[in-house]
Amino acid sequence: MTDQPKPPENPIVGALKQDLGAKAVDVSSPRARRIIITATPQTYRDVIKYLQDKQGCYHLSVIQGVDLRTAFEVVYHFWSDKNLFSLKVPLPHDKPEIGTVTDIVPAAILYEREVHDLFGINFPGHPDLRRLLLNDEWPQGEHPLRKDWKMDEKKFYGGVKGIKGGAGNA
Amino acid sequence: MLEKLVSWARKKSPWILLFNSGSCNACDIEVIAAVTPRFDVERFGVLVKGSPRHADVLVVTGPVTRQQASRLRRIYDQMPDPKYVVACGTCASTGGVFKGLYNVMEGVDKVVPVDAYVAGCPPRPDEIIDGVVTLLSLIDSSDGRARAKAREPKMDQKQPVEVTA
Repeated sequence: MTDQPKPPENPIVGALKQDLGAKAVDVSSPRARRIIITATPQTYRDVIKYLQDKQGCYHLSVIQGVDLRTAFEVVYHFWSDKNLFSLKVPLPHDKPEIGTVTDIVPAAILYEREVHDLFGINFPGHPDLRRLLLNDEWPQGEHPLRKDWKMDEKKFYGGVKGIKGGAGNA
Repeated sequence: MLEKLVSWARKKSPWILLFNSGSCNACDIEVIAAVTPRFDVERFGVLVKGSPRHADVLVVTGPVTRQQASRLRRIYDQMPDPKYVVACGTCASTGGVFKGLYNVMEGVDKVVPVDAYVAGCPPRPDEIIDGVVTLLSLIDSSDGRARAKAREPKMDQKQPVEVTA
């Protein structure tokens, strides 16, 4: 295998580092048109506003939840026609909570519900944080995409009583 | 004599009901292809009906999500006897690629007794027709032994299972 020449650093990384300063913990660009920003729960709103106002990010692609076992991470993906910005915000594992962004990004309303449903990450200030994906009979406080989640044999998860099905068989 | 006549009538006009229990729609498209004139399962007297109360055969696609399980059971209970179930596709038979997921029951036979399984992802319309014809040979039995054997539930629990409304 031949060594591929390392691509030159995306010039936008330097600009972002300069503009955001201490608000961004880290800015990197693994490949063209792909920028990863790491922020904190204190500064992420400023970063989102900066991306919207100065980088033209009019489109929120998706909000992801990530379980790193020691911490949770919420990843906001913004698209600006030129670059895809991924804004990572790490959260403590024992109290996963981050304020809603639905007031500045209305499209976040469904994504935040989804992450709340599957990861149990709380979004204070969300206007309607109802269940989105899991079935109606799914017990409260169970979040199947958490790494430490296991199906409780004694609980009823919906469907037909007396039949485990799904992850309960494992 | 009368029994033979009834059995013959039943075999010549099995009305089916399609039910999607969380399928990706591929099986549904193949089932629709099978019942429309190109493959024309209607030459065996099979008609698609819109209500479980009119149907003899329930054709189920999909791995049965938890949300759909009680509904599938309710629809099965609404069908008049004698009733038959065809699990159409790999997901409906075993759970397929969804096996082990937290939100599926893994197969139609976990929720209702199944008479015929059609494998494939998705099964070709020919295979669906083959499954239906196999089922028709089960229906046609004056002693009814084949049918009783086929309706044996394939689950650990005793039938009927409790249904949550």
